[in-house]
Amino acid sequence: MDPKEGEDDMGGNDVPILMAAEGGVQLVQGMTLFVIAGFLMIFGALFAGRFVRPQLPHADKSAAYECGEPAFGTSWVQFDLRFYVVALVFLIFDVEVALFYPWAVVYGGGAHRGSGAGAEVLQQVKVAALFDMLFFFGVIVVGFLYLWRFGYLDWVRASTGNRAGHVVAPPPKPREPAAA
Amino acid sequence: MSWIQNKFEEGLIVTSLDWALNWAKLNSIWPMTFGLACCAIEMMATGASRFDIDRFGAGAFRATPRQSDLMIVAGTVTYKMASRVRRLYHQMPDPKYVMAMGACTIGGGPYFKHGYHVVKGVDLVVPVDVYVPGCPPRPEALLEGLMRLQDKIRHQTIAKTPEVKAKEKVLTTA
Repeated sequence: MDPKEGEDDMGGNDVPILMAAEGGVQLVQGMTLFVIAGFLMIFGALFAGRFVRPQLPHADKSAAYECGEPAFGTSWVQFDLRFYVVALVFLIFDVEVALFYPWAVVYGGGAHRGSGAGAEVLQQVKVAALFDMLFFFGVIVVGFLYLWRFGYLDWVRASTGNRAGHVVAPPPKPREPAAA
Repeated sequence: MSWIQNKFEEGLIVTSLDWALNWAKLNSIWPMTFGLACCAIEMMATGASRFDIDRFGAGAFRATPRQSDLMIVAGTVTYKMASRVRRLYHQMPDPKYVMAMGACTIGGGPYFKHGYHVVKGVDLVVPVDVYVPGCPPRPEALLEGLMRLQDKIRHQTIAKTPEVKAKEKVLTTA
């Protein structure tokens, strides 16, 4: 590369940098206008609505419950903590199905038989997807084994001193007679 | 009542604003998902593709009274349900409208004489804007009722009513 060409490069680089700076200013201006317009639209609509909307408060209207039934009690009620674990387990397996199904449909079977470079790339993607799913499944299996091992799958279980789960109350060992 | 109501005399600006407000209101009457008896089947048919109440802007059946403008009382209102109907009506935001659909809702219908458990007309519980007769009314009838409700909304105005004007006149002359 001769020095003249390099000089040209330097000279040519100045203009794009300036343009980039101008573009940045324009971007900031545009973003500012966008944010201001967004706020104006929301609060303008709320402000205009204040004058147009009727305001007829009623005790039933401000009630929290909206199914027609009279509400009773408070919302601070206790419920069984076991539902929490059940909900978590459901969520895990729900996500699992949601991810497994499209993966199996798209990459499963011989749906994309073909030849050439495309088929080769697809094969690579398939293998990568398989290992991705195996990793994902492994994570879930660890969680599942945890649940199984510590007895979260049993609905009825002792609440204290029973981490193993499958034995609710270990029977006391009969005292062996002292060996002679 | 809104702030703008009864503030200004009728004029070009007020009537234009009336037109715009009413246009918006009458083309987005969202009914409540609320079926009490067999009339609700016809109401569902009205919402489905053959009759398509959404052509009139009333197809968005809301699952909560908080978001609905219209309560289509579709079916027999029993005494047990009456208090619920009234509570739901109160929970709807203003402006709100009620349509009594079918003979039972209008006046007890076939249960008028021997129905010990039926309210003899839902207008004993909530104010009704449009009555749609029939047992049950066909979907066309319900659409007709909706159009009559739209007519009602179309004639609303925010201008001073004659009563308000007369009252002001009395106050100023006194």
